[in-house]
Amino acid sequence: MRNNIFILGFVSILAFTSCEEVIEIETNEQEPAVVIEAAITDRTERQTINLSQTVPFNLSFQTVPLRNATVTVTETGGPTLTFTEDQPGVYRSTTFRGSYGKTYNLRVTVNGNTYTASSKMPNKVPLDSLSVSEVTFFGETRKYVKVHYQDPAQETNAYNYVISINGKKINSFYVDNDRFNNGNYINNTIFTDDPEIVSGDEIMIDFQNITPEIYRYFFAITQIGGNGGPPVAPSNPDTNLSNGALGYFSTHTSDKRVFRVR
Amino acid sequence: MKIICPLNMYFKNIAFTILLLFFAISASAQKIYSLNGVITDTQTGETLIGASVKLSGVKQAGTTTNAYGYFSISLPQGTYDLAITYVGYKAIIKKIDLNANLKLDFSLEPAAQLEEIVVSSVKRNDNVTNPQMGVEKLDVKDIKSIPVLFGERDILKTLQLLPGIKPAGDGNSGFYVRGGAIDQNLILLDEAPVYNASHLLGFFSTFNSDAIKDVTVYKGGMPAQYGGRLSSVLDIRMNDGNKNNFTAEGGIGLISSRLKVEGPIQKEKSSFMISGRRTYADAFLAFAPDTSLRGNTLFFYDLNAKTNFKLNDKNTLYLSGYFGRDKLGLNQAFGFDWGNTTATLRWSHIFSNRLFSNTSLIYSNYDYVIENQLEGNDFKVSSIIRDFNLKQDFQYSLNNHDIRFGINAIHHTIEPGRITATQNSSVNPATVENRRGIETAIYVSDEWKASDNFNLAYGLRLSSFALLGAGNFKEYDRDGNEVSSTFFSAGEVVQSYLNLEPRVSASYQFNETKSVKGSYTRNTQNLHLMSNSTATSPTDIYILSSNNTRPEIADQVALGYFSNFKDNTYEFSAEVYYKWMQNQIEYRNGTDLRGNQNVEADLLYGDGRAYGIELFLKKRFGDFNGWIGYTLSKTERQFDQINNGKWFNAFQDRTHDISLVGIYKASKRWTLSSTFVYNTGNAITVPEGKYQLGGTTVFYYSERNAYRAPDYHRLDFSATLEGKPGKKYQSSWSFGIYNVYNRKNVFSLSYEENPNNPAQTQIVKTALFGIIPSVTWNFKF
Repeated sequence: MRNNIFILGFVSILAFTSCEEVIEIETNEQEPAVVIEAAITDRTERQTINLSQTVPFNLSFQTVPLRNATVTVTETGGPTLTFTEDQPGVYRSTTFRGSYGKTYNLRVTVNGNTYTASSKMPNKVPLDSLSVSEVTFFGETRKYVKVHYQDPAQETNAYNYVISINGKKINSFYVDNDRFNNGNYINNTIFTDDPEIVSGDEIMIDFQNITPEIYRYFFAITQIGGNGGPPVAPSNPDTNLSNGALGYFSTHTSDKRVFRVR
Repeated sequence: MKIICPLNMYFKNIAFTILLLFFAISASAQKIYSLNGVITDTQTGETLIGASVKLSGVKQAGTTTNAYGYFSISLPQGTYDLAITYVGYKAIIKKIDLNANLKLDFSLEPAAQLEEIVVSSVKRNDNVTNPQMGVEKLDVKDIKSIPVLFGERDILKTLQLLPGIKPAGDGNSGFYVRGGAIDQNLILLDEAPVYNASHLLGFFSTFNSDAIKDVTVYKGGMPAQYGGRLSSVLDIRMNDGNKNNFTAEGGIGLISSRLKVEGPIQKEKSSFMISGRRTYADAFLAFAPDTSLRGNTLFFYDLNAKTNFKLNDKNTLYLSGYFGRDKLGLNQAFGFDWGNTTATLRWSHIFSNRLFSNTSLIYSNYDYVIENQLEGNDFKVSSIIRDFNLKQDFQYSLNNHDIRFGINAIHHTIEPGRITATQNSSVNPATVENRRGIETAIYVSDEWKASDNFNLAYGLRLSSFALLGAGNFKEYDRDGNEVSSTFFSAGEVVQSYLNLEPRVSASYQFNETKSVKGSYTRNTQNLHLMSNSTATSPTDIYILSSNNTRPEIADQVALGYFSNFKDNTYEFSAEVYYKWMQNQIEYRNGTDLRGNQNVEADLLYGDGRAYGIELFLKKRFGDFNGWIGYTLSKTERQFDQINNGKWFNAFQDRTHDISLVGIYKASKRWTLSSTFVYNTGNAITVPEGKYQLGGTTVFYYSERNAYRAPDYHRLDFSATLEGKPGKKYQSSWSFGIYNVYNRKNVFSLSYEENPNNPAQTQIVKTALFGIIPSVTWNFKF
């Protein structure tokens, strides 16, 4: 946020001269890498893990599912869940609910390689309420969604706000932590870009408590986006997955709310 | 491992090494006398830095004036032809009898271009004879006629036209020297370190060229009196103030206006100079049709002031200062301001005709404040770095030796971040612990004219650093996990380092116009810049060397061939260099520098190397002058935890770099100039693949900096029309065109989904500066 205003500030003075252009840089094709998108939530449901492969940058995106994998999640000192391939590349467990404070261990074997990760389910921080606020920048007033909740003082908390507008998920990551506001009542504005929120829109928020590792993972991705001047060399975010796999294994809470903007 | 020792023991170690200073040089039997004095400009009374003093007679000898316009030379008794010369001034040639120690002051008259021919017989060839290499001097007159962005004369951008010195980005005043990073340049304004030498997010330098007398940059072979940074020393000296007359000069430009006033306080005894500049881009906002724009601010100003008092023939006091500030604000939402303050008090004392002393007390400060005024989330973040600095420097000349020795002690205080907020805010007040440290150095050097063709400059700098309490000091393992945390009370030494830095350069002269030189230099650095961007940013913070972060060390060897021809009208040089760098710093992925108490947990340490060749051809005199510079170089880094430990190109690795500068005096009133620059694009990391997480496209990046951004090139023009001469006041018009053929050079690259077809991804280049015309009116009376 701060960076966006920062950019806005000086771009306004240079607006008459700066410009954007699409350019080509020829890239080498790499061996496709394994992508694991795995999460255990505190919702009683069939937990889902997606396995896929990277595709070359200059090709049109299409999911390349990784099929016939062996996928298990074991609760430390507890049962093992086996995930079965429900659709190509989509693996689901039986109905299950992650417990707060428990550690889960992921194991994926595909094409002869094994990838592992473990993650501890954080405690639940309840979402208090949602609201809509109006903010004016450079003469333009726009509506943004605000989340309200009480951050617990005695622990380090991290949050992920997944927002959908009229059933369409916004393709940005909004992660936050309590480094600057531990123990306070939080009123956070989610600065969504596109589409603009208007009266009558149906908003869905999935309010998640995430682990510090996953916060850092998503923070790294947003930082690589280069807000605030030319970024230092971008690189693949550090993940808790072993063996060079991309993606993450997250254990998080989930509190989904729907409301309509007046 | 932590070394805990009381401060006084630490100083005992230093006291021991002071002994190094006292080394003897055998005196010769012949009767030796010294000649010394000060060289000034007749019109302004300003001392001239680097003016040449040459004597021929029983023996040939020469020297140049130091940073205070002072020279001293020792020679056997006899009659000599003395020649005093300085570029752009009429020479003084006279006979002197040296049969006693002599003090002679000279004052030189500025010359018109054409008259240069008259003095050609004594044109300088110091670039050939002086053992110093890797040094570039900028002529302030050149700075005034070289075209720059928005017509703002800019020392740092003019420097970037020299080989081996490269801009950090399009229109940026940050620079890289011989593969070094931006924070590895020691930027001194009247001896005071300037921590953030740029305005408006890097597009303008903090140096108002009106107030500047002399600019010298060392890319290698730094003399022993300089230390503390790895790559370069940029030594900028302010004008002392006109000792004879009151003058005012200034300019009105598109972006800013400037005014300088100077004059005598007490004739020939004391004078002052005060120079200010302010931009007014935001003034236009007040007339914006959109009322919401009117409350926004965006400007900078700076102020340079200097005064000097000649107490008597032997003692002079100087007081100079700089104050600059940038302010950026969005009404009711956001405020951001930052700036530097420096102050220097110097006492120059002449002990004898051979011993010259300078004592300086220096203060430097850089700070920024960010304010967020959004209701319910308001906060204020501030950060400060502050230095107190004491320097004692002696210059002693004896026979063929110019000896320099001294001591320097700097006390640093860093407040990395303090967050304050109102009661209603959801943000908690917090403070990152302050850090304090003392840097001390003792140095000695000798410039020795060993024979008519062999000169040697050698020196030693012993630098030490002590990180001081109070505070909690943590130690981290290789993966950034906290291993221990220890509390130290105020003044306790947490960690100390001692480094010996040898500096040697030698020149061998084949004849009057040809020489070869070689040098070896070691530099160390105890202040490290943390930046999240490749451009200079006001929120950059510094950290000190510590129990986790070791001093950065660079060793550089260089070899050069220097040749002048056509009666010293042309100068040519070729320098090759190789530089090794230890304890270089990078971050882990996802590092958040904002208010980060444990920033060291996120640091990675590695090595660097840089090598290259720099070719330089300069025409110094005539109606047409200018230069061509070409650099072929390679700059790499190696970190165990980046790129699988393999060497990778540094961002600023630019294989080819060319700059052309031409200045043509078309008539008595018109001066035309043009510059052209070309360089290979930066080494960058680009996505080779992509994948999706929850429907959002995420990029799969290549090896670190394995690709190239598009090449950079640009052509600029400028023309200056001087007013009719002979009037009481003088005025001139400067017209400029930046980026004549409107090249869209890369400022930044971003990788994104095609808005029309999200399945497709693309690379989008942002170019900041297209073709930009400018006009400035300058006056002087």
